[in-house]
Amino acid sequence: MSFLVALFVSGIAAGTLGALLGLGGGIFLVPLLTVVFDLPVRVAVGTSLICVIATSAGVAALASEESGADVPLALRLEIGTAAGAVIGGVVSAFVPARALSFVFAAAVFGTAVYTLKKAGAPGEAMFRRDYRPRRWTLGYSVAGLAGMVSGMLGVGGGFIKVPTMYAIMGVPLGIATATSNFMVGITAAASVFVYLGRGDVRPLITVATAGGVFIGASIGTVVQRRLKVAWLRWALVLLMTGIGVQMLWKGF
Amino acid sequence: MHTTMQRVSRWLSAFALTLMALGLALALLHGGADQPLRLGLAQRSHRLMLFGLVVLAVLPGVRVLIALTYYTAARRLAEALVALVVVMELIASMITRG
Repeated sequence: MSFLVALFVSGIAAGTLGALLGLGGGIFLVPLLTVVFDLPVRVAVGTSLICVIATSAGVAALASEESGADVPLALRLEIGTAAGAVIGGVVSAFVPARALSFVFAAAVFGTAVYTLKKAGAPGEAMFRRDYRPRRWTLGYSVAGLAGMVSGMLGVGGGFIKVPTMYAIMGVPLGIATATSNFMVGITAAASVFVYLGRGDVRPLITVATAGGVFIGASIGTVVQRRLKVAWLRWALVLLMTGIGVQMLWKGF
Repeated sequence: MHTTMQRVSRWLSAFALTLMALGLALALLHGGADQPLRLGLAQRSHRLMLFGLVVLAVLPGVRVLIALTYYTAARRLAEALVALVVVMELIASMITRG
């Protein structure tokens, strides 16, 4: 029972962070489930995929039209992400994994620097609808890279998608996170049925975790409206720095 | 479209969570609070939880289908085409990875 409660609480934490930062939560959950809860990697990934969808569902259920996902943008970028995943699958057969790790680390650090440099005007709005996404070529390219990284790390790639939309394409940060949550839900849905079919989704473990994630995502969606853009920007930069360091470490 | 998507998300999520909660409650009643986690749970609880998880898993695809329907009805053909490509990608991913 304490095991289930611990999973539930972990799910709340992952869902809250996921909703706040536009991540699915897999980047936190997979290491947590394997290292702390000692679950097999395939079970952890299967559980994580369901939890990513739960995060996406939680955000979708509570986000208002003003703060919700930019659906046309999400669908367009999702095509780039899927293309990147396919290209990544082909490329990874020819390019050494170490070299890929360095390339991805460089991309993540570069996006982090770009995000830092984007110091918006004082009182920059988290949510507004009078914007037009720009720099589509660069946006598609980085979305494609997010797709490649997703396949490599087994995550949704939200930690690249959010800064791409915010810092490169000019999307308000709150909308970028909601849009990213929409996208990572689609990405997870593409894989999750394989894990369900293989029996890598253990119902009791997944239900306990996903239930917590849904609640956490709902909390994160409500809390985000009260946060300042600068705080969220710094949290993103810190996260990306950590992931970049992890990728560099893998390369060495 | 946002209102429809939000309504569908809420209903489907509520349905999925209800199934999962019922399954979990049954599992705990059958297995007891201190039983170790094994798959030796009553079949009914297992199926309820699994069904709830499947309902949750189809939600992203349903949202894309809503977008496709909306854009087609509104004759926003460029967006409809993009949504259709995403739906096809989803289906292709499920087939190829399976």
